[in-house]
Amino acid sequence: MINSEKWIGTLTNKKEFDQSKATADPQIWINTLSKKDSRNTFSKYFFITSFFVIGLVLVTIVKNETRNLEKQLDNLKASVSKLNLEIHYAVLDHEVISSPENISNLKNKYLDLNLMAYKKSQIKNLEDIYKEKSIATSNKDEKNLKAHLAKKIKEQKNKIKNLKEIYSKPEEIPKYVKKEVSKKINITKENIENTYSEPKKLITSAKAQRWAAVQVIKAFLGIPVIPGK
Amino acid sequence: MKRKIKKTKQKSFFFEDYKESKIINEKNKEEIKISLNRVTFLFFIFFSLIFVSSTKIIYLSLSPEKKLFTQHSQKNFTTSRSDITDRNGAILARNIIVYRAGIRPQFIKNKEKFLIKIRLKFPEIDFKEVKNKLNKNKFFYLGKKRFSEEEKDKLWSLGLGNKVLNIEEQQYRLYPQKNLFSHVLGQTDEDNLGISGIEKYYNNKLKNNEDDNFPLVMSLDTNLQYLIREELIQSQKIFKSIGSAALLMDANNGEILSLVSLPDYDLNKRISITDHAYTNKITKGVYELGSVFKTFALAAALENKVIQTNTIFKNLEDKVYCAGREIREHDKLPKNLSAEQILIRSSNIGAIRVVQKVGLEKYKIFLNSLELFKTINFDIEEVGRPLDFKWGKCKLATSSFGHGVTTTPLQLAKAYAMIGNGGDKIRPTLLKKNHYKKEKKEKIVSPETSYKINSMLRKVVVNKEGTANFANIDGYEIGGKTGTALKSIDGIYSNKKINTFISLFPISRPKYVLLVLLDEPKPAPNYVYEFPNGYKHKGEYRNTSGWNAVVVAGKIIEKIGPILAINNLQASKNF
Repeated sequence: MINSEKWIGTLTNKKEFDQSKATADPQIWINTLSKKDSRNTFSKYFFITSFFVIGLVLVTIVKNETRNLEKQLDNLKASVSKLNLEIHYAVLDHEVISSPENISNLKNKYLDLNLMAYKKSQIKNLEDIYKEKSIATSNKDEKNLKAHLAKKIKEQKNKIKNLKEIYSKPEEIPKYVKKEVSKKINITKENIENTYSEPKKLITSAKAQRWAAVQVIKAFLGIPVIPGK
Repeated sequence: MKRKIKKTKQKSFFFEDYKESKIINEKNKEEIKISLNRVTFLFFIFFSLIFVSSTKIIYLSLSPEKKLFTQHSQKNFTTSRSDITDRNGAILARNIIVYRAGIRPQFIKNKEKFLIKIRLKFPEIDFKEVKNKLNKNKFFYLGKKRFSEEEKDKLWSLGLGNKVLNIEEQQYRLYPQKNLFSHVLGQTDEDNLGISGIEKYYNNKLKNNEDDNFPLVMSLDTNLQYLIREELIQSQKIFKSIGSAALLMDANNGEILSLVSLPDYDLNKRISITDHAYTNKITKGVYELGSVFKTFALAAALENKVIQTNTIFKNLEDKVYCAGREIREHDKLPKNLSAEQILIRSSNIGAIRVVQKVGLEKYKIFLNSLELFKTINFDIEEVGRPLDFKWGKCKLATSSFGHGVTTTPLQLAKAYAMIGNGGDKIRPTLLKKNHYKKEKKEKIVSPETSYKINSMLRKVVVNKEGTANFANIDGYEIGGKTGTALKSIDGIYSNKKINTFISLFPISRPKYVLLVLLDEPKPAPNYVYEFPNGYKHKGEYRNTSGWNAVVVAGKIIEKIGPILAINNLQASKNF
């Protein structure tokens, strides 16, 4: 059972309605509502719109540039592909031209050569050849030089031997030889003495006349007067 | 105090004068509603425009793969099939672009003018044929099957237009070396699919993948192939053989450097060949190869330690009988021969005695280990299958000198390589191997047996009584064995011969195996044979292997030796 006494007085007391208190004071509520900021709204939309427009313009520019680059790339790719194809064919041409069969045919056509294989025994090592050659040449030179010197030495020895023989026995030289040699020596001595004592006597009038006559004849025959001209 | 504070924080209420404000608000509301509708509408249009543009821009930006601005861009050139090259990078097969020109006569206004133009620009095209086709008024392909790029431009310059002229692009497989590798490379069909040879076996590998456009590198060498082929052609003129073949293989890793089989054909002509003479004699040809098998008899005996090289076989008969058939020596030979002499002098009876010492089972096991009688696993499908036979005493005897048993020259070369290289098992291949990759090899014979056999093979070439003196080429240390076998036609032995010479060089450290096979060689009495000592001989009427196949092998080695760059300066003194 509910004890009614317990709950009596728990409800709030009903008071009389006070009109003055219930009337709102308008001064309190003035300026409490936010004012409409038309400038802020405008700039917000302006910025958003500008952003979109600039974005669009930029995208268009970038896209245009990309398109140009793409075109260039594509052209380059096309030329690379063309070059690849050309290389593909050029390599093939090279293979055909440089094939052993073709080279052999060209050789037969244009070269008047009869090529033949050499056996290994026919082939000498270059170093060996050089060695052999150098030894041979050096041996030959040495031999020649020795022989030449020996010959000269022998000749000189013979001369010395003869002279020695002559000088060792002067009494054996014939008398007429001795007389002729002394005569020649005397004549030569006299000539030398004359030349040094009286040089003007060497040019005689007869000699000068003879020289002049020879020069006249020469000029008449067209032979240069001065030798060598 | 608490109550007061609470009161100040309490929310306030504003009571309007409803009647008055209601009238004012309604007026304003109408005006505001009109202006708001306009702004909203304008904003909506503006926003829609921007949205559409932005969407388009975003869409374009996110699709870079499509070339929206370049409609005339040229496609990248890619072949539908990879190149095939030799070991040095020389191209053996390559795809090129060719064109087919289709004509629609019904659209040609002036047919006579068209014919004149064709005749002037393409005089090689059959004029009458074109005229006939024009009159039929049905679509046809102009003249030759394939037009080059220049010819295609020439066709467009005729001014026929798209309606009349229909140019179709095709890829065509070209073989710049023509005949040189015809038996190895095989061919492709019109759809660029391999139908024979390497083209077929490695079809999947060759079918191009843009990311993997690497060539298929073969072990073959174009220069060696050319020289060997030329020498074989010359030999066919001298010995008048109906065909010939040669195989040069690396004895240590199985790489095939040259594989020639004559007659051959130009791969570019694409003609259907049915003549058996064009069979690949090295891989597809199955022959009784004769005395070259004696080496196996000796190797089996040495490996099983039943004989030594100097073991003497006494009282060898001139002839023996087997299943009623007579087996004789090819020449008059001494009664007593050492094992070594049996091989050097190529004694048939001696070889029989040797295998009889080995015994049927052991000999069978030895030959099976050399894989002579089963189909070889090779890089082309055109391989021969050795004929089946039943082992018995008689077969043991005849197999010792290579009669009654068949194999392919490729398998013979493989067996010789394995015996000669120190006993290592190899697999012949047409693809260039990675030399840095080391493989563990199975042993077929011991190095001692290999050494002894090599020593004997050298004596076959060097010794006066040997059968291969013409192959004693200075500087290349050749060892080998001759084989002369009678050709079996429809199961009956004829007088026609198959002559073989298989050589290993340099024999002190075998690096190469060369096999030369002549099909039906004839005596060459007008040919001047030159012995290694300089002696010249003419008027020879014998046509055994020693008088033809050996001569050819000697000439081949003389020519290819400088390319192979064999250095024999340190060659073993034992040989």
